[in-house]
Amino acid sequence: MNFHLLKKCFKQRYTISFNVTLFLFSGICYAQSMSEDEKLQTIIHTFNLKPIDSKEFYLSEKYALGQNLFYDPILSGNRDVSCSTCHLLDYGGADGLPLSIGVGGVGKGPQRVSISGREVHPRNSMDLWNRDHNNVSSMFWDGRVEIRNEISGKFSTPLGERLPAGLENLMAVQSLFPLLTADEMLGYPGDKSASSENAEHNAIPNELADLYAQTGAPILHSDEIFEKLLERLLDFQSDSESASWVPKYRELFEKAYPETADYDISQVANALAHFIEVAFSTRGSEWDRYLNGDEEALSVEAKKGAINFYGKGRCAVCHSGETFSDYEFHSIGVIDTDVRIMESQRDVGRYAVTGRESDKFKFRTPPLRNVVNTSPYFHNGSVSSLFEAVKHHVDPLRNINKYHSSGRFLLEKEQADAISPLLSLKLNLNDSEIGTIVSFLNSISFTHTESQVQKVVPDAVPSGLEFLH
Amino acid sequence: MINNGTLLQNRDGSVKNPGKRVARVNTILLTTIASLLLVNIYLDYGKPFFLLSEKSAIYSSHYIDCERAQKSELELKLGVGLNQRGKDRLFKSLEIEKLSCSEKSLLQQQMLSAGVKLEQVRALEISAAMRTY
Repeated sequence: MNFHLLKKCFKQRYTISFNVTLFLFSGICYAQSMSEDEKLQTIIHTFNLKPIDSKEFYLSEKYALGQNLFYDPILSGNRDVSCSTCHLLDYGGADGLPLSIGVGGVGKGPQRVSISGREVHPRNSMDLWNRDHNNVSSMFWDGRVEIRNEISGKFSTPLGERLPAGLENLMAVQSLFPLLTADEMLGYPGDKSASSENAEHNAIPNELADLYAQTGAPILHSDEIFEKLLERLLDFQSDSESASWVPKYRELFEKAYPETADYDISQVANALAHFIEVAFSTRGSEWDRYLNGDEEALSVEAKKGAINFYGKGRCAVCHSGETFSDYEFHSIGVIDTDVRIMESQRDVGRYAVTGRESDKFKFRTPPLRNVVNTSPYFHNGSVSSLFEAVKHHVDPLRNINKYHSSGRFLLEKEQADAISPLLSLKLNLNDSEIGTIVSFLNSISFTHTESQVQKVVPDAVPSGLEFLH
Repeated sequence: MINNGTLLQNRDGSVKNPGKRVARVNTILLTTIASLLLVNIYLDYGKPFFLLSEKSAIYSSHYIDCERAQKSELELKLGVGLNQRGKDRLFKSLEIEKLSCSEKSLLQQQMLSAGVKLEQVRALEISAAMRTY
């Protein structure tokens, strides 16, 4: 043996031992899978994801008119409900209630209760975020207001041919319907306001509701109701001081629509839609910042959630696009409210609009921007936590053969059969993965800054009435 | 070099003990052989054991996700009541879901090349499948 050579080798013993260590542990070191960011890049490329466009907070004259109309209870039959009663910024643009309480209610948000003894509105209040987005093709849980033809811009609504002309977009069309719905804003013939505030207004009869007293169907009297509403806003004849709103609204209309002096309901609807588009536009969520290239914008948990959302959760099949909805109709086996189960009056959803058997129990996919703030969830607000709402999608068939306390099935066979085959296969998500999806949903939320809230909520409205905000 | 009985004396007068030198060489050789033996034992048993312990959970998870994705793909091809745009999005979701298949394959190759036996990997898969289904 060449001793000197061996000695020379041992002089390099540290180098050798370092190499040996590297070699020994290399198996563990190189067994790395794709990072979250690499997976997300694949997702972004595959789904062609883009951040949502942020709208400028441009406070035009039309915005000012829409803002006042949105918050002013003068638009409701008994002058005690405004759009903001059920669309509050504090509750993500919804009201925090399972089922909305329009007329006949007192209180704000989840504390609002019905004292009229009448049935409350049968559906959960929807948020208003980004409803001007090009993807939005239908409104309401059952899509009863929708774009019939994207090219001609024709709308399909319960008003049919009676739909006023001059409506600029789907949001404007939608904004007319709460005005025509008895349990939302219109009220019932002969009813007085449930609110003890605004006493002078309570003494005035609901002249709008009186118009449909004979038929019981406000929709058949839409023209008269709209005309009367315009008259209330702009030509109200009264000796009382409460008519002081007329000159204020006249001024707002003149500034918003300087090209005409002939006002109709379409201008009310268009101004409301414009206000909603600007005020309820999400601006700069963490997810949008991530899509713009800021890798630090999302937490690791939210990144994992996004991977599960677009991957094994298959959420993006229906909650797609920038607003996270396909605006199509699906059944996911949501349990009806106790009253509906006990009275065997199941909510048939889309079927009530189309009459097609295949549409039974289907509801429009809700958009998910700000969903963390709009609890409770689903068309009837039957689930209070977002975690539970996501978990419901994992196995919606689990309620088959379970009984309600009344002895009836929680889900009728017909309802179970209607559940989307996509979900009936059962998703492979554990609680921890559902938690990551909730984190991701947090990252697509947006909250107004204090200065933005001041731009949205007026100090007072022309009628001088109290309003919820 | 002059043989002085027990010691070897160099020409410069320094003295060296040949017994010590042999002992030193022996020690070095023995240490080398022992090290090589240890390395061999580590590579044959230790490294696969540690790697398998470390990666079994993630491998099982990838395996189950991949199996589900492949099974779903077959089932969903039969129809899920979606329109064409919905189907397109569904297959995109499945593509993402199937990233777990590539990750599983990558991990499997790394484990096999590190000395983990194929039977051990299969046992891991069976155990994961039994826990899940």
